[in-house]
Amino acid sequence: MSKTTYIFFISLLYFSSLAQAQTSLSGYVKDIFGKGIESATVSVMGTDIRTSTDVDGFYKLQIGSRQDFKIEVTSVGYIPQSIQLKSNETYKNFRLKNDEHQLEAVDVKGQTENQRRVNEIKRSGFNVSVIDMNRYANQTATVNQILRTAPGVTIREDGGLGSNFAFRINGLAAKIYIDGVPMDDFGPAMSLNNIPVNLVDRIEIYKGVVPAFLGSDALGGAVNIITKQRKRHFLDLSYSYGSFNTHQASLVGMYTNPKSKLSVRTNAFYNYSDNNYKMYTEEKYGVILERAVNNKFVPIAEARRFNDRYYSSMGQVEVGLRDKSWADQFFVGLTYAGNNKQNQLGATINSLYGGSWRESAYIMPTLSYKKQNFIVDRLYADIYANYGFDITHNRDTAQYNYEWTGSPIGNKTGDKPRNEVHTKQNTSSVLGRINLNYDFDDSRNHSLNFNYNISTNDRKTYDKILNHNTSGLPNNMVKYIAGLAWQSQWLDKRLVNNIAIKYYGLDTYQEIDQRKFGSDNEVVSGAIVSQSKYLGYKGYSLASRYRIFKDGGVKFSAERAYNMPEMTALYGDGQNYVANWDLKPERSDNLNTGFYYNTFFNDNHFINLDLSGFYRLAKDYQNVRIVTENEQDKFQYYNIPGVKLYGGSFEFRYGYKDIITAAFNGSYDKAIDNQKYTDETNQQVSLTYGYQIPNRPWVYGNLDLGFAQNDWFSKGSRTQINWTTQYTKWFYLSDSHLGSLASKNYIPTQLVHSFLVSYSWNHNRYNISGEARNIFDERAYDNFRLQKPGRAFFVKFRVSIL
Amino acid sequence: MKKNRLFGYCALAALLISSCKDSPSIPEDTEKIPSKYSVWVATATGSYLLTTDEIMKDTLLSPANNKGVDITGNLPQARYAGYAYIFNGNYYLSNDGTRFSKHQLTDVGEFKEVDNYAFPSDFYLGKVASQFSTTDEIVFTSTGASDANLEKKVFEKDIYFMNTKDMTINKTLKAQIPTLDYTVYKPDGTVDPTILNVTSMRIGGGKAYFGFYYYNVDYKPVNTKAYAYICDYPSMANGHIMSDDRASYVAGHWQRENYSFLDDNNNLYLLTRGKTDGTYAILRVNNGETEFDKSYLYDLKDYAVKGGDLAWLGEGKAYVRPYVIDVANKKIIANLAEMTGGDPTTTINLIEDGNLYTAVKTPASKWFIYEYNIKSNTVKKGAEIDPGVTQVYHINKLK
Repeated sequence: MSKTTYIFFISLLYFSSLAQAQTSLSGYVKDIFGKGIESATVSVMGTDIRTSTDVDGFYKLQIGSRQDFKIEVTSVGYIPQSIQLKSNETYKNFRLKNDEHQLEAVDVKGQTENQRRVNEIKRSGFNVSVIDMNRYANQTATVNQILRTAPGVTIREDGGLGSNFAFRINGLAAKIYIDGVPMDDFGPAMSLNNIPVNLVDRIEIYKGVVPAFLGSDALGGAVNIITKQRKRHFLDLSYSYGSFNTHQASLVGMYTNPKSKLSVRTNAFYNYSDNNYKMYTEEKYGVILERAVNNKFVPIAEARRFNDRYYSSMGQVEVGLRDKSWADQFFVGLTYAGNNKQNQLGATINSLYGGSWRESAYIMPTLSYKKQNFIVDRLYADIYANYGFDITHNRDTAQYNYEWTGSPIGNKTGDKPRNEVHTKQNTSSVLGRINLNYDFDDSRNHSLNFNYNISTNDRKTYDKILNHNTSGLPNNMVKYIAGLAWQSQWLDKRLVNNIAIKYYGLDTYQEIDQRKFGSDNEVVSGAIVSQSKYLGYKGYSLASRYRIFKDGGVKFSAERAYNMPEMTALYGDGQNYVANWDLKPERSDNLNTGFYYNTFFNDNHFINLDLSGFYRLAKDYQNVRIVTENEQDKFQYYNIPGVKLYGGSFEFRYGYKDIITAAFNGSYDKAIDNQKYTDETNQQVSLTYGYQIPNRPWVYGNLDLGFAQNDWFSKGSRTQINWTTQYTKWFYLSDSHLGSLASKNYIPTQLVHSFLVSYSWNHNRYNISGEARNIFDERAYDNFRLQKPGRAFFVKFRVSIL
Repeated sequence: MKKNRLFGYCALAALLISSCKDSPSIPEDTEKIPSKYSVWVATATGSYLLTTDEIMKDTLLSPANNKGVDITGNLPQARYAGYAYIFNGNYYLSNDGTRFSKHQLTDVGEFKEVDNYAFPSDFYLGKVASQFSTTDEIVFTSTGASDANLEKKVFEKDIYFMNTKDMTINKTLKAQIPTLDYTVYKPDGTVDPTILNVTSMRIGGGKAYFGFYYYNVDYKPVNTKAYAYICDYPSMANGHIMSDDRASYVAGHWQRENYSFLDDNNNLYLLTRGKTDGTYAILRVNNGETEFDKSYLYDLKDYAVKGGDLAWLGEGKAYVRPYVIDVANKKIIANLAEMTGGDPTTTINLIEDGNLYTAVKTPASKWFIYEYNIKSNTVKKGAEIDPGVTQVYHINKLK
């Protein structure tokens, strides 16, 4: 279905529903700081007309032709408010003050699933921070760009939109989930570098122990991206345009028939960028851009990136039923995605590829079922399954090396022209997940959670040029993860514990051609050999929270967890990653502590302080190195036998009403080489033992300042200004104590400032924003020599119809 | 009031900008580094050059405490030293595949590129005819060969003569190595684009010799014959291909190491794989002949031969790591592994003043430089290299 047809269909559904609407009152219920209050009750006093607010705090009340009546708004934890409605008033916002006499919601009855989850997260012993992505809805950003501002998170990118990246939380490769489903199962369709912010409601960042309901092999942390889902109709459309010919469009919509409860929800996005930003020669950072003159490379001051265009699109439609006796939600869905990414640089900046790209098409039918009181009271079931099929082509048609001007090197003296490369990978995957949660009582003092995940990946690679005899040999991987968790609340809910056990299973299989052929093409020796292995491990964890006083408490968690290799790590990607069949699962013993303090003063101010620390002992730490394959630089996953990681982070937030927000965080994240000996004889202590692992950021932080003003120029408008600064301290490419300081290369300190102005009117229905990113044109490098985009400007227009 | 707030934010941001230094503090280093020899070592995450004036002095060479020259940023660790040639104080490197560059160590220990040559497609340094190296010129091949010219039925293998003063190519000679005289098919019945892997090149006595094997799309030899190509030098005319199946295909790789040597009489000796996996043999082509010497086969199946540069040592001796052999009599004269009590690891040899120098890894996982005296057939222990390194690649004389 084309994008235009798609938008038309959703719009039609929406506007037809508007046409049928009765006279109604709608608006938002928010707290004093502008955050929507979910599940607040809005009622017409003296009648039984009432409704509840959704996750945004939005409500819509059918009032018919009533005049002169009072509306009351109540919500647990807030002081109730009632107001006399003026005649003909159809839109009314409420702002509730916190009720400091109530500590926490005492009963979970009546909570939405989302609210229950958020409360659960807040109360749990898990060290988790939640990013409300609705705050960023007016930015031209992908999830990556927001996520990297969180404390303890590093994302190292090698370029602009859609670029390759390495994601870590507190130094470990954390798993990423979308609505609880491991992101790996979405193939190339969904990634942190292409999901627009508009599709996302919030991001949960778990540091340390990860809850069992995220049933996967997360180790040391995880990110769960929660997409926008509402029970009501809504449509959110956005389009942005900016530097480097970057276009980003997104659409999120939902329609539910009030009578039949039939729901249609849709997500779609389109990203395009030439990524032709300027690179600069910076000799002190080891960066020298060159062109060839008379068979010689000579430096040039600057050049634009070329052959780095990226585009991706995704469309997802889910159709299902809500609020039925047999299901709270039952949806079947279909996702289609296409990617096309040019590949100017391989694993390093050393070689420029003028004709390399990768394109993929992915289709995925899904099935999801959710039910409270499943079979028995207080048993919650969440069942999900998908099947994915992906076709990826890796191609390189360039015959010659390229120079930074974007031209092939003209000199014809030398080696033979490069051969064309074209491989095709067909990957099919299946994911099945069941999550059962049983509460022993309505207050959820004791709960049991069981989670089982099975995922399979089967890949066949075909060489389309050589069509040689190893084409089509399979690589398979099956993961089984089962978890059982017991959550309990003690001492009048001051103490919350979560104890879990997990089983990890990894089943891998591949076929390798070891045949040798004679002069008449007869097989002299060898055969196509099958290799398989099964690895099974047990893990366990404890997460506790103790509330010391009303506004603050401590958190502690400990675990032994495993991180199983992914398909790319084991079998490569046919382009930039080389296979490593011998890669072992990473094991880590983790300790995490945290302290939090949240308070309000004078009603209008809030302060939030989070401190956390971690200590990890990792065995077979999975890292990426550069290797050569067929004389080209490639990435390859490998194990570092031992790594010790420790560090901490803090985050301080301040807010004044819904006018000022300020956030400041910093992270210190050290990884120490714990591999003591130089070789397997265990005799000589390695020169790097006990020293910090080089080439990784270890001190970084972010500053975010926001100022907003309501009702400028028109009633119901909001003007917002945001200033953000990202800081990363310089770090050495190699061990700091080896080699003379004058000869050492380093990745410089970066201080990247961005500025955003946005204006919304008609109660947030229309938004326009302008963004200046990297405003001082800082030379930013996440990796040695790989400069990221400099100053860039974006404008974005967004329509949000409720 | 609102304006003031905004200015306040900007002031805070400006403060942050000014308070952050963008680079490490590097004290100005004016102390000259020793510059006669360099030892190329690696750790798990970096590569270093350790310089010294005396490799046989009882001392410790180490990059620790910020000594030595860090070259990690110049060469990906994976590239190691297989595509490098060090001569007359210059490091000729092809490690990024696009350029052939000349590096030098400055007096204060910085590794700088001083000149380069831009090749149009992947270029990696292959074999070097080091006997022709002068202060003005080096002679070498690249790792690859042309695609087969089906009309002429040849692969072209270029020999480059590079003016090292300005890194320009003085001339190029082309060896025309014949394609296989039969077609190789893949199991699916289609034609295999068979190509060459040249594992050695030697020039002497007016002849150029290339040891090679043909390999298929899976980088596997298409048969178990040893091949050598001989032609007149420098005319490159009168080319002739010879093969022998008494052992197996030629040993080695397309990298810098040479898997053949010429003796004083310009007889060619070629290392081949043995009849059984993991073993080796040596074949001979006598000077003036165009076929393998059927009377000569040195079967090394009982010896733990390792890869690396084969070298003629003179006095009838050659080095086939870790053995010194009496070539004519097919005898082992010395086993450097036994004599040093360790594992000689250096794959590019330093031979100077009648001595061969190699790095040895001992059973205790320590590293030492050893000197083997060709005449007296003795070894002597020299400098120790920090046992905390994981690999020692080259020992090079710079001056």
